Amino acid sequence: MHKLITVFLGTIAAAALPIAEAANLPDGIAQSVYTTGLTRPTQITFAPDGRLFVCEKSGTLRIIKNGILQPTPFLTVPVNDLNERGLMSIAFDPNFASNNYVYVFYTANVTPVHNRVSRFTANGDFVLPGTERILLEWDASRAGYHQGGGLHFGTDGKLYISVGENTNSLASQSLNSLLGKILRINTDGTIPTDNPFYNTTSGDNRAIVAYGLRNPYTFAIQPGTGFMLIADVGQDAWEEINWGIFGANYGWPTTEGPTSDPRFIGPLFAYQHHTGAVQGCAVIGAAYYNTPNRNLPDQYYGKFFFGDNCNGWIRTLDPVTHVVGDFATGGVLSPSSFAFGPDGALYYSSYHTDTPGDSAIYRIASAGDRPAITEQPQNKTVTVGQTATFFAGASGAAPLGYQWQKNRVNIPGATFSSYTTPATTLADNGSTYRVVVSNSFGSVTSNEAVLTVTSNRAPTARILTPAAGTLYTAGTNMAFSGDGTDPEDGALPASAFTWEVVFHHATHTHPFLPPRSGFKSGTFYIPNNDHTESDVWYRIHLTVTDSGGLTSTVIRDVFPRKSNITLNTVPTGLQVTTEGQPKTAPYTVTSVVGVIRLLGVVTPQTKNGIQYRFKNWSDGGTESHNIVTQPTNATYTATFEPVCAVDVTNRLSIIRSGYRRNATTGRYVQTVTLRNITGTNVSGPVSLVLDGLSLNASLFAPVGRTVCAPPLGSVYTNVNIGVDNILSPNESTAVILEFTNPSNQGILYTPRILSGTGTR
Amino acid sequence: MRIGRHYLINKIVLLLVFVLACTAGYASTVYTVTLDTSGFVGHPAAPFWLSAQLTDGSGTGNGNNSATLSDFSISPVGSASLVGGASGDLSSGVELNDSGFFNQFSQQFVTGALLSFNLVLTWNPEATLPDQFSLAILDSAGHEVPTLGMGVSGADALLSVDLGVGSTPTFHTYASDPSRSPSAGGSPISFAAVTVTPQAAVPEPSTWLQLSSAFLLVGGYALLRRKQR
Repeated sequence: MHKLITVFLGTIAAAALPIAEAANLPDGIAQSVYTTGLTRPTQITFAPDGRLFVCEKSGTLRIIKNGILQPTPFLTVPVNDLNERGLMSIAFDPNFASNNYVYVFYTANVTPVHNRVSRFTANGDFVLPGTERILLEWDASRAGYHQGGGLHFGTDGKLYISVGENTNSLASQSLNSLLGKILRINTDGTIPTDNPFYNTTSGDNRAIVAYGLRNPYTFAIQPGTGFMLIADVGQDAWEEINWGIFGANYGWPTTEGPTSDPRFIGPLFAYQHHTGAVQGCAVIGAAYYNTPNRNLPDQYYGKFFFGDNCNGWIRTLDPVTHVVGDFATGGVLSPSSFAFGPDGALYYSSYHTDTPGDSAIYRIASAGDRPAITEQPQNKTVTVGQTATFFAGASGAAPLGYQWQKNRVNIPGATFSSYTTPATTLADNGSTYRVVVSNSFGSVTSNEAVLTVTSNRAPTARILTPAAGTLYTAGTNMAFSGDGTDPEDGALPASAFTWEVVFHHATHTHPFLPPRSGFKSGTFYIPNNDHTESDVWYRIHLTVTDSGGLTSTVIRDVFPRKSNITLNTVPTGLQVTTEGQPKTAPYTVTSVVGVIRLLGVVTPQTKNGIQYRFKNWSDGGTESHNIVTQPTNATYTATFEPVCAVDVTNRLSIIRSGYRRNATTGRYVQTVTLRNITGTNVSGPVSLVLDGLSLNASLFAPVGRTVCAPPLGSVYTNVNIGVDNILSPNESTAVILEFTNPSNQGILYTPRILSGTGTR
Repeated sequence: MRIGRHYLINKIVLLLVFVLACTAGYASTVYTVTLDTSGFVGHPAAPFWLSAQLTDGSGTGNGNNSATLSDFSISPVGSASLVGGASGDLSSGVELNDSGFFNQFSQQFVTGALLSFNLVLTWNPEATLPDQFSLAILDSAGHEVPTLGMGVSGADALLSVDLGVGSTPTFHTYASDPSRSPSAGGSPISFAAVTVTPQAAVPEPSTWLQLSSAFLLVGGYALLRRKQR
């Protein structure tokens, strides 16, 4: 149910494919590697002076100058980086040139773990020690997912913050929580008094400007216009781009995707996970192409660029016409953040792997005509006798020609984008390989990759526990252990072991335990309070490395125990909720044993014209309560009771006129006058019920028939009692009844008056 | 003094006997109903019909009330249409009796003159809903000429009155609705609300009998007193 996709990890499943494919871009536009060597980049932002700042999830804030990653981080903050927690984003003060203020969103590694926005003061390429000023702090983080974490300054000089609901979906609809919101604060952490809920909330909640969001990981504000577009990562069906509107409620968890519910602001654009022309599973924003310098064609100027972490595409949204257009239809490697550089090119961070140093920043810009290397060949280590394959990506005017070189000498026949060596010998050790790419406009030579050939034989890794086929229960510890042997080294020591656990959901993954080395066994806790979907599992990776540097990796998938939860209602067919999302009973969902589910009801609600209110749950739980998924199938029944209108007949005098047959319509008319004869108000709406109406006659245009307040089946009409909806003492009102009576027989009935909002 | 006191007592007794005898025979009030029909002359929605109806509140057609219309000032065209407990015509007078649920008299008439007639209503209350007498003018399509009664009662009546409700009739009268045209066409017709003027009470036949009895009683009592003297 509860898709916990987040953004940056949607395609970690592709970790085994560190090589970027060529992006499918419009003619004349090419993608190239801008900077490598990054680790789990979550967001990129250009400083006003042109430096590119990169947030790494582990808490390091890196600087790239002229394409070169600076070795020393600008800032390192102690973070808790479990799951989707960590260093999320950075924003520069509008007066950065004079005050050097930077603002950072991160998960503080303190007790309790919680998110925080702080301001630091920069000094060149480093932060001044001791300058952290905490501006805003959240309550304890209940789960590792749905942090949100976007930071941007608006054109009004205020700092805007996007915050996820931290898997507490109901908090999104509460103005007493900072979760699932867009917030707005001053640069000193105070709250602007013109925030829309400033006078109706208290404390930090006064910072709320919009709510009803799930995981707004990124957003962007257009220079000049101030238009805000929010990329709200959805559950398992929809991804949304929402207008940033003061006071807006975007509907999560009651609704997701397009909606006509007048309570909510529907998305400006939404796409689905498995159907439609545009598909994906985690929307990533966001950047407006409004840079002073232009690089991309003018047709893209002023557009909002967004992408999908799972499906690897980039699209544009026109903020004026709201038209969505293609840009890169594929080949964009797990984007986690977009930014336009001062050169007018589009940059994005690629978070496709947890492996340290394996992530990169890509640049998308006009290609020109000359060829360019978009993917550099990588070093290889193989055992003697094995082959090695090198690959290079390139762009430029077609046709492109490739010529691989070994030790800078052309290799006959090696004229494709990849090259596989013959079976290697020890003599090949230390050889370099590169490729020259050329077209009619020129040529470019890639970096050299080094081939290491060793007589060393690869080790063998083995996961001993959990055994294959092991099932897990959420909320418990999972023990793991393994061993590793090497033909040369024998049994490998603990220092040779590297463990990683990746959480899989459907076709994408989430970070769970990043690579850790130095132990042969351990345990990890499987949470029971975040993901509620059942198409999930954990994949344990064990990599052993021998003394010669050769590695062996094995995996073990651990799947969950499952059971069905069935939700019924009495009467049947009413709406209940799971994790706040409405479902029509009977509703059965498969759940992971041990996972905590939030059951609720929609109350009051109306079905077949009858209004119902919640009475009780079969398990004795409150209207909204948690349950733990049991090892066996379980049924929970919510009982409702009808809410009927109140009979106030004895509180009114009812004066009925005689009948007159309207010759024009052929219908009989009668005036009924009601007067409140008590000393207290009668509240509306008021309905006049005609019990026992003669069979030969029918009330013309009745509102309905009684279905709740007996006697049932009587026709009724509503009586206008004025805009105050109250019939005060001695106040009277009249209603004209019309009857069809083709046989011109007597019209008899007994009047009854019902009041209140209950069902008639 | 003694003789004078007896004389006074006798006169008082005589008066009481007379009053008691007379009140035993209720005499209904005659109302003259008048409508200026000059606004109907030459209108494309012609010809026009006078329609009077009496509905039975009991729903059983119990025949406990009637409306008598007489002394019409207008000239009929063709013959009258009678439904249910309706009888008579313009020259002899019309009676509507609630012996059916729906009782109606309709008569095409010559417009232009002052339409007037005398109306006598009986006044017997029903147990649940009242009987209702009402009037309307119908156009050539058989539809009611618009009046302001539509907004009040849901029908384009000229006049309506619930029988047996209260001690005396409450007539609801309505002028033309200047915003609506007749269904049969033409522009809205302008006319003032009908006037309903009470005339002297007209004793009913039974009342004449009771009045005669009262005179006989008084005469008999006077004769008896004279013999006693």
